[in-house]
Amino acid sequence: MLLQKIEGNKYLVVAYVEEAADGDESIVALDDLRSLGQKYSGSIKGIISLFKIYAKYGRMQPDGVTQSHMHHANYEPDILEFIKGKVRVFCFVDKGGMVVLTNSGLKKGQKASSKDVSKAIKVFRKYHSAKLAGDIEFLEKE
Amino acid sequence: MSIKNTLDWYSSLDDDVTYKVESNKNGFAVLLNTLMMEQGVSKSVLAHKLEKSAPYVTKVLRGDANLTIKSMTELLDVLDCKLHINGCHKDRDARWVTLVTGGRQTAVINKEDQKCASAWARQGVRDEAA
Repeated sequence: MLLQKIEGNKYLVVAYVEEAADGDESIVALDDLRSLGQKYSGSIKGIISLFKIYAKYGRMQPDGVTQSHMHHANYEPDILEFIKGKVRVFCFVDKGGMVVLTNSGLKKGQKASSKDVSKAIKVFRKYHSAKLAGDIEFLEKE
Repeated sequence: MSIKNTLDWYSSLDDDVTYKVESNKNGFAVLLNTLMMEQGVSKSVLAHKLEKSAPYVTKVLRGDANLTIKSMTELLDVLDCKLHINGCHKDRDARWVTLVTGGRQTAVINKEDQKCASAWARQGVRDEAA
C-alpha cells in the first residue's frame, strides 16, 4: 500500500494512494478536493491549511485544530473528518498521531455521507492489513 | 490526475491569497479555542457571554466566519483578552511572547539573548509610557 507524505512536523499527515489497474497512481483525497470546483475554492484551501496546523500542533491541544475543525464521522472503526464549509476530508489516526487522508466529499445532510464513510472504512481496513503484512511504502514529497 | 500534478497544485497554494485568507481565519479559530481551553470556557458559555447563538460560536471555531475587527475584538473581550494586529514580511515568521511586568527573572539563555530581550522590553515599556 502506498501512502504519500503531505505534511510532516510534530505529526505526519499522509494520503492514501490508489493504484489503478493500468498502473496509474493518484492521491484520492486531494484529487477529490480538486474535482469539487471553483465554487468550493475557499473551503478547499481552508481545509489544506488545517493539515498544516494539525502537522504542527495536533488536535484538541493548545494551538491545534479544534473539535469543530476535525471530529468523528464514524465510531468503530474511528473515522474522522476535517471540516471547512461544506467540504469534508475523511481520515483516520494511527499511532503517534499520524493522520491518513482517505477521500473527500461534500456535506450532504446532518450526518456524514455513508458512501464517503464506507470508502474511508475500506481504506482503513486495507491499511491495517498492509501494516500487519509489513506492506506499507511512504512516498516522499519531492 | 498524476501524483506529481496533484502535489504541484498543493504546493502552489502557499502563494495563493485565498489560501492565506483561509489560513488566517483558521488561525483566529485556533487562538480562540486555545484561550477557551486555558480558561475552561465551553462553547455554550462563550455563546451566552456574547449573547450569540451556539451555531455562531461553532462557525467561528471552524474558521468559517469572515470576522470583522469588531467581532474579533468582542470575542476576545469576553475572554478578558485583547486583539493585537500585526504584519511582517511573508518570508519572516512572527511570534508572540508575553512580557510579564514586575515578574522575577528565572532563566537566562545566554548573554546575547538576554541583552536583546532587555532592550526589547525597555522599548516596550517606553512605548507604553508614551
